[in-house]
Amino acid sequence: MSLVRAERRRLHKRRVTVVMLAIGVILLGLIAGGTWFSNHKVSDATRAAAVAQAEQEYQRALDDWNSNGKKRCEDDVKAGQIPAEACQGPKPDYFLADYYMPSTFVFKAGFRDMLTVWAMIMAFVALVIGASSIGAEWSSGSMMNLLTWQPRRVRVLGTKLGVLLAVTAFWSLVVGALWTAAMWATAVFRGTTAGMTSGTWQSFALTGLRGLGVVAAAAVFGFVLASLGRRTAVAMGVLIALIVVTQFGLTILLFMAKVRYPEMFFVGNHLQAWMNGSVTMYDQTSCDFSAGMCQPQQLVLTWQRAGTIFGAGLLALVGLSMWQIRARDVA
Amino acid sequence: MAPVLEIHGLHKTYRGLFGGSRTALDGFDMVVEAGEVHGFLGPNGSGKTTTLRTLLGLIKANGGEMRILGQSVPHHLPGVIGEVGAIVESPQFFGNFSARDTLSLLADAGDVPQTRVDEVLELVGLRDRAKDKVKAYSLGMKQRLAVASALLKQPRLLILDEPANGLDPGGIREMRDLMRGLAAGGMTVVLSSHILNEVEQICDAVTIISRGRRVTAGSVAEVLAAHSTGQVLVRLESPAELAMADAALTEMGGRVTAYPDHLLVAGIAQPADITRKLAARDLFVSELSPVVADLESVFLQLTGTAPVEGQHRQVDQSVVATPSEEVPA
Repeated sequence: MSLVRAERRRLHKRRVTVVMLAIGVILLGLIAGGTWFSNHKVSDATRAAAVAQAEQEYQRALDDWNSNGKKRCEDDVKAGQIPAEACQGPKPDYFLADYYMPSTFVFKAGFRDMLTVWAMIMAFVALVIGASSIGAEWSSGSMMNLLTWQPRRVRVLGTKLGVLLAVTAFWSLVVGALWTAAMWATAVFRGTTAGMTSGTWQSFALTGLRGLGVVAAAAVFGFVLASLGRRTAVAMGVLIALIVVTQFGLTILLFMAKVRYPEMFFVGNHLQAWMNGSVTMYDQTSCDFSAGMCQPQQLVLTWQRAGTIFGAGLLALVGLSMWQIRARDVA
Repeated sequence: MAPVLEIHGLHKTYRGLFGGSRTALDGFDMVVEAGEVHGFLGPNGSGKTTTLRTLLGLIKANGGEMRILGQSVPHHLPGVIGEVGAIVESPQFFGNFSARDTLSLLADAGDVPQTRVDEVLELVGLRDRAKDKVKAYSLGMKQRLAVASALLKQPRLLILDEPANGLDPGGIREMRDLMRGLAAGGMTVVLSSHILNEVEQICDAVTIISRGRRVTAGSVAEVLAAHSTGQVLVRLESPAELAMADAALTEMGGRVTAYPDHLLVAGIAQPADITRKLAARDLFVSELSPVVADLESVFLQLTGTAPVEGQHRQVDQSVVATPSEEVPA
């Protein structure tokens, strides 16, 4: 327990921890502010104005069609340039009142995306804190110093990782609670909280839990890479290299090679599947447009599958770092 | 009483990732008795730091046996580490923490009471600078902090690698007094240092290592005596008469080396014979003193690292001892 206490204190004393948490809170604060100011409460008068504007726009489009568009369209049909079905003119469905409403924050519809925003920002914060917490220890020599006090290396590394996870989870939950409160306030004063049920809250809680998983995974990823390279810069370098190679280089390569589901290899899609439940990918190479409309084959990436891939990858990296600290000399 | 530290036949070879290897320790032996201040000496790259790191479990040995306080290490190191305080190589701390924070975190990690932090800060003279960030410290202050961290757990065995590095003259003397005091209190101190006159003053015993092997070991007095030449320095009232003295002493069987202002005489068992012989020839001695080897000259001789005019000695150019060549103290 003494090592846990020491590591908890050490992590909170580190400047990077404080600065990164502050950056995370500031970023989320700016987004919350932007959301507040870009949304407006919808009153009956606002709705009536939107209905009137929609009707007005529809009439204007209809007049324009009757005076100019209809004849031009029929000429094009006669010339065989477009099919006859194309000349139907504007329909009221194209001019719904909702299109003319000011932006309003509907908690039920919008909070899930906001949870993803919270998770991504906190994941970035956790990644840097995780990488720095062990990388700076190695490069400053404090890790070697600590190992002359606690020679059980795997235990030391495991404790550091455990404390990092606990601390990032704790602060993510605190920030997440503030974020939820901010979004709820935005919905109350600049939107609506209508339609919220216990089932909706449960669904949001599950999304939040998965968001917490992303934060934890980012912390572990940064920690393990910096531990393997014994430098914070190694973790950051590997991360940038991964983004460049897999998300840009690989994109070009896979599309050139006409791979069936190239999106399968993008981390972003797996993250999206994890947070949103699933992502559907389409095999564009399966289309035969000569037969008319194409219904490409689909592949659904579920959050369970994305989670298994993330989990297995992280577990392998953690195992590798534990083996490495046990086997490699501390020099 | 069993030795506090025993090393027998320690081997360590560093291997590169893409081939290539370098033997750092090649069957090294060392024994440190309880309560002594033991000097651990060797040229740069001779294996001192590798030995200390191996003892502390930071490096894995390729062979050999080590025991600390009777316990085999590294297997039983977690059981004895609480009684071993150590600084290995230069002091290394996280620069953005204060000295107090650094020690306080170590105390937490090692289950040492926090009250001990102030005690060691006082002991090493950092009490008034304890709240400063370590990155603002001079090398000497960092060295003091390192010693404080090693003393934090009130160890039975204290291992100090170059503790006087960067210290001012007053600091070096304080460090010397501190070590004497610790040894007097029953602590065993292993001191690796290149300041050989300090080692000679502080240490009870020494081990000298060269190219990964022990070249000599024993009490300081024994090591110096074993390498004493038995020469006597002779000065006369009148340096002009040195030639006559040289002839007289050679005549009585001495081996004389003449210098402009004195003679070095070997091979005469009783220095009184020298004064008697010279006085009989009206040559009057103003100084007659035995030439005692100092640790620096013994070190340079045993490790083969004495500077040679016109040559630039490379780091690994030192004596390689075979077990039969080890110089007994």
